[in-house]
Amino acid sequence: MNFFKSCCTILLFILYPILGTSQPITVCSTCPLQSIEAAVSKAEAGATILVKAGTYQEHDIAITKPITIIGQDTPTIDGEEKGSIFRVNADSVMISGFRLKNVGFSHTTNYAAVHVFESSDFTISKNIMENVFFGILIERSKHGEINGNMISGESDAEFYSGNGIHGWNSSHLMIFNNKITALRDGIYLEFVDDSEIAENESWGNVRYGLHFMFSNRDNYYNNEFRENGSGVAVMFSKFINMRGNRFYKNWGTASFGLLLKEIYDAEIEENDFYQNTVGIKVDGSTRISYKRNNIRENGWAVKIAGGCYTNIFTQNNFSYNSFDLSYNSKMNDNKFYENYWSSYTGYDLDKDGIGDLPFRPVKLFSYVVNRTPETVILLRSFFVDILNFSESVSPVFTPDNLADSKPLMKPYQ
Amino acid sequence: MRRFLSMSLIMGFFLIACEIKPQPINIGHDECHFCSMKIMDNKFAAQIVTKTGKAYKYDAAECMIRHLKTFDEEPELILVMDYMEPGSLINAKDAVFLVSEDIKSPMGANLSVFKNEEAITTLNKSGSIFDWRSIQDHLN
Repeated sequence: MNFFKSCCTILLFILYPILGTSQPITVCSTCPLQSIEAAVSKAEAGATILVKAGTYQEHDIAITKPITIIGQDTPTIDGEEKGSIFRVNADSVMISGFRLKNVGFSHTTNYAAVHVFESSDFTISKNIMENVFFGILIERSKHGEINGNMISGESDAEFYSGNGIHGWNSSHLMIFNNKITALRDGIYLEFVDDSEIAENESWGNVRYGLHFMFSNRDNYYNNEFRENGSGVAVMFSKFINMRGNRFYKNWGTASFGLLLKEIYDAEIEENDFYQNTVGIKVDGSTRISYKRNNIRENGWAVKIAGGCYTNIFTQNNFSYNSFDLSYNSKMNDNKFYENYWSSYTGYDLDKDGIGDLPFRPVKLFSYVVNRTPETVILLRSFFVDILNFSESVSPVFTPDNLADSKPLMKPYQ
Repeated sequence: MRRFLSMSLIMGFFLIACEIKPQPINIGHDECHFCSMKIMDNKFAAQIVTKTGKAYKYDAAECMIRHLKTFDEEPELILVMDYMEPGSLINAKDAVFLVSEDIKSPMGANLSVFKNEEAITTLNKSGSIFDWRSIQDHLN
């Protein structure tokens, strides 16, 4: 009998939390609870709130306990441009399935559709955010998942827009499968470490598709950045891994697919740079390896400025760029080998797949264009062809050792 | 007399042409000279005009101060945006600088610029206050 009793108590202990949370709190226009705020204040830690379809005029909904809020059939929460919509300051919060629109705008306060601060283990998934100032703003938080959201601003507001996903002083964020458009930066990460950014699509943003500042040990892969002010900027960061991303059509006088500024120890592999004014702009970066990237049909494939040390370019395809490489500093032990250059005109008499003569990717004319951009109008002229040819025969201005010693005859597959 | 007039006209024209003045900062289009970021926020931008009239634009005062360290010659104008009046440039030497985690500037220094200390008091933000000389040491 005693044994049975203790069994019962144990069972009760196991079942109690499950039974306690099994009944979700429902919010709808005909329910006893008609506002999300009321449901949140009634909910106990661990509760689930189910919001039925409809439009709710609410803003600054403060969440200070671990709860799950789920929208059924995409209910709309209209912030009426009065402030943020959700303000999360608790661990283990989940917000999913809402349409959040009309976030307030302010010069001094960063309002967001979802503002998470000093929290961990949060999930923000499958929401649609429209006419936001900031989409998802994460401050001093860690272990968060941001998945499958669609975030858009009002592009006509131009510089009055905030960022789609903005992380500050946080770590271990997983940012997957989001679509972000018409904001300042699609994704902006400042002091964000150990995070993963994958399979996102960021287009038509005023500044950058993705922007790292002072962030270390982050990975971003298989994302698409298209038609932004510029594609991706990685600045003052270490150990950033960039793989399988697509940088498309970032056109404009100061536009680029990828900007690297003062970064160390990065890997840039298997990315596709297509039709950008500058494919990759590098300014003061050290120990970067560029492998198996496709760099095609850009104005400049790679533009290197400032002190860059120990960078390695290998197995990349440089196809049909107006300029393959521009360089305004010394060689600094950067290496180029076994890349494919569509403008290589040498022969491969021993048929080993590698050109018999080294390829010099820096054209003399690129120095002229760097100093006086207007001269680019002469790019296809006979005069410039003679200039480049004579320099390639006897290099005077271009660094002597800046050459691909083993140019591939066929593109790397 | 006529020669004098035309001469003075021509001289006047040259004077106008050489006038050292700040250039408008085109938010959302201009690029910071120091960090290559697009200038996006007219609460934080800055500008230096050299004695020869060349204007350098920056997305943040911290970029300007860091670039200024590389100058050989003192520039003619050192201008920063007033945080309280976005878009209006004020003289950096008379300005008050606030470093506060509550106001995040584009380049991570948490630096904002005000006309005077009263403006900071009205905003009620915590942080440390610097003048032009001490902020340059602070950013080292």
